[in-house]
Amino acid sequence: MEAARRMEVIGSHLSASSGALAGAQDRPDDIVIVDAIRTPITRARKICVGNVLQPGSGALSSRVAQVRAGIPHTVPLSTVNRQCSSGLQAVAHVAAGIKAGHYSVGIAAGVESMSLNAMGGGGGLPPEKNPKFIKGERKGAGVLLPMGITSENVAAKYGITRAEQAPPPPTGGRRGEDAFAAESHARAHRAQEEGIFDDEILPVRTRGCVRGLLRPSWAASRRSFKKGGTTTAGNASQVSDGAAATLLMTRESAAQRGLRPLGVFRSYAVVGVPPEVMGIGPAVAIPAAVGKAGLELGDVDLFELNEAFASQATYCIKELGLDAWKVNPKGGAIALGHPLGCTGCRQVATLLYELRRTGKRFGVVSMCIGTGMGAAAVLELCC
Amino acid sequence: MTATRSLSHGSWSVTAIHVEFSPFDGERVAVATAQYFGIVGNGRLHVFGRHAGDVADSSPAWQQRELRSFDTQAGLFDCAWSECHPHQMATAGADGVVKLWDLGAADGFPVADWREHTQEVSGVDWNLVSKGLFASASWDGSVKLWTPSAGVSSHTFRDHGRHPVYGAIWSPFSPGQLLSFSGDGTARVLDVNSPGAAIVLDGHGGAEVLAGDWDKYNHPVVATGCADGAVKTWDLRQPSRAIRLVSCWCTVMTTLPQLCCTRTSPQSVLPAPTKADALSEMGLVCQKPPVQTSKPFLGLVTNSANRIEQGQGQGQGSPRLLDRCVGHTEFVAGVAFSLFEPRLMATCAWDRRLCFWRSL
Repeated sequence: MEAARRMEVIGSHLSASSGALAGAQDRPDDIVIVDAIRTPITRARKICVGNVLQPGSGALSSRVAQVRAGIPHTVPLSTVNRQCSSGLQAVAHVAAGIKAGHYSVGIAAGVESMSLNAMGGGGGLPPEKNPKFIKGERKGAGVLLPMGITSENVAAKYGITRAEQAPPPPTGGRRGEDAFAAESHARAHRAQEEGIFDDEILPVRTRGCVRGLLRPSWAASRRSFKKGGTTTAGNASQVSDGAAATLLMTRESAAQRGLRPLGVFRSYAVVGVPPEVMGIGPAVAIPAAVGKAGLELGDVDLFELNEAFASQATYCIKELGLDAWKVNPKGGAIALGHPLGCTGCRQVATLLYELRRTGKRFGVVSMCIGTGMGAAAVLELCC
Repeated sequence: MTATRSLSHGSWSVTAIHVEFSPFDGERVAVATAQYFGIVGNGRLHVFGRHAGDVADSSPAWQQRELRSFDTQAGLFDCAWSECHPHQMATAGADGVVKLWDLGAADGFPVADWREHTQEVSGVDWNLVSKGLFASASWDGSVKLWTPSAGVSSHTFRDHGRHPVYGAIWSPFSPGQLLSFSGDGTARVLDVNSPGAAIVLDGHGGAEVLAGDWDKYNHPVVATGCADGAVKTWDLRQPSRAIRLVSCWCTVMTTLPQLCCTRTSPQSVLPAPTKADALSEMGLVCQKPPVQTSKPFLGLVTNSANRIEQGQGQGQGSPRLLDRCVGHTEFVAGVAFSLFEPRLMATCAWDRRLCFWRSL
């Protein structure tokens, strides 16, 4: 009698669960990521490949790669170019296609070889052919600004100086943009030493991140874009080559195929910002994506915030009030490199394995986009 | 996450229900346990201490050893360290008996026991200000006040009628105020000096209020946790509605759960300089809903910073989830903050383990 009554009281606490606060419910038509893998970033049913600098958006080379990789020619392929977010856009494209019922399983990939295809070139608007465009006062001129200049603009407009004003990084004593860059290197180096990248990297050929840059060389790093500016080679993302791919399908299809989902693609948002300060994109895109997922910023455990430049990354972290240790715990593009088309996909792999390793739940992938945009996606770990 | 200690004893099915750090000795922690999830069987009070040798050792590994244990006939639902005597503890028994223990006692018997509650005692709490007084809450609907030297309770509150009271926690500011929370769906602030004039915190949507605690750094603020998973904060000057719903994604408070606001200074706790004037931390015991039916429930502890802007109902400072500690495999039932070491937390769970966590 006594035990039955007691069990009733204890049981009533459990059955009252309503789940009203749960951020997202698991549904069979959720788009899940069952695998995410990338190459080391080096210097030298559908498939959607993100890329930026290849001629013709790499439609040719991607199709060649598909066939040579042993994927039958019956599988269609397309490419996508949304600058720095191309890799993430590919994931979003495939997720959207699956949601719309166009296909049930898709590979979203990203690739870039910045050593083969250099940045610049005017993108069809070469100033010598169309001199009106580069006149500063004309609308749209900001779109043509070199990325380094946009970084200087962010630094100048929002007061991110090289020497100060950055939040003190948890493990480093240096301050400012260089501090942020040094922290990125330190974290990437540590993660590499501890083998934390092993899950996500498919060995190809690696030269690894630049190790042990010392203070004197930081101080001496030349300002690359503007006299008296703050952006240097040391606190900007590296020119690099890399590729990454994710396999997406519905939760239901994964279950049918006996595949274990790694994560769920919860939401995606792209926003526009002034082209001359394109680096602030994540500060606008992240709240938009997090809101779409029905979450609050505080619910997110980890952020993979692309470090195009220390100036813009520092600004976004400050603006959103993020905890420094939640952002890029394994280092970012300043240490790992930013192969433009690959980055979004690479971040998905980096984020999901870090969520799994640390037992966290929600993560955000975000980056700024040249020409003035920001993209962000919310991913949730499947346990 | 740091070291863990298993509480399994032979073939016993011991469920750890509550954990508490000693207010006198940062190396000591007590755990109240009950057999068979507290439904039937015996109980035991454990006291663990860190090895004398590794006091200076700052490594995260907490090698615990058992200093003392006391057996009881009924399961224990709660325990509280005395605030005036470093070797004394009170326990809440499932048989309705409140017991006082002395860790130095030569035998395994309690120093005193009080048999006034007619049903399970669900909570005991020692007064931080009037240190000679402690309170007990019971499923019989009453909250009773005790002084260790007296043979009978000094006062009884029956504000919650016949609904079970899951706990009564003393205010850290005024010696006569208690926050009690109950199965009637309300939490109340009881006052020893003016009984009958309790502040009622209604508005939990009818769900049983299973947990509560005072914000140790904002005088009029308390937090409550319900069976439906909602954690709310309240300003006692405006008790008609909650100031904030802490939207953590965990959906269920566990049975016999706990919610505990840190007593260490929030300024020293936080890594980054923030608006320190209105900030405190809360440890919540939550449990993740089963994602896949094949897996057991995953116990989680969330350590949530709850930022409250004084005088502003809504606004900027929404509560943030600071960390999740994943590792328990069954319902987590107890959580406590160390009073000496910032960011050190202890949790105990139905998986028979006591875990220590050092959050970033």
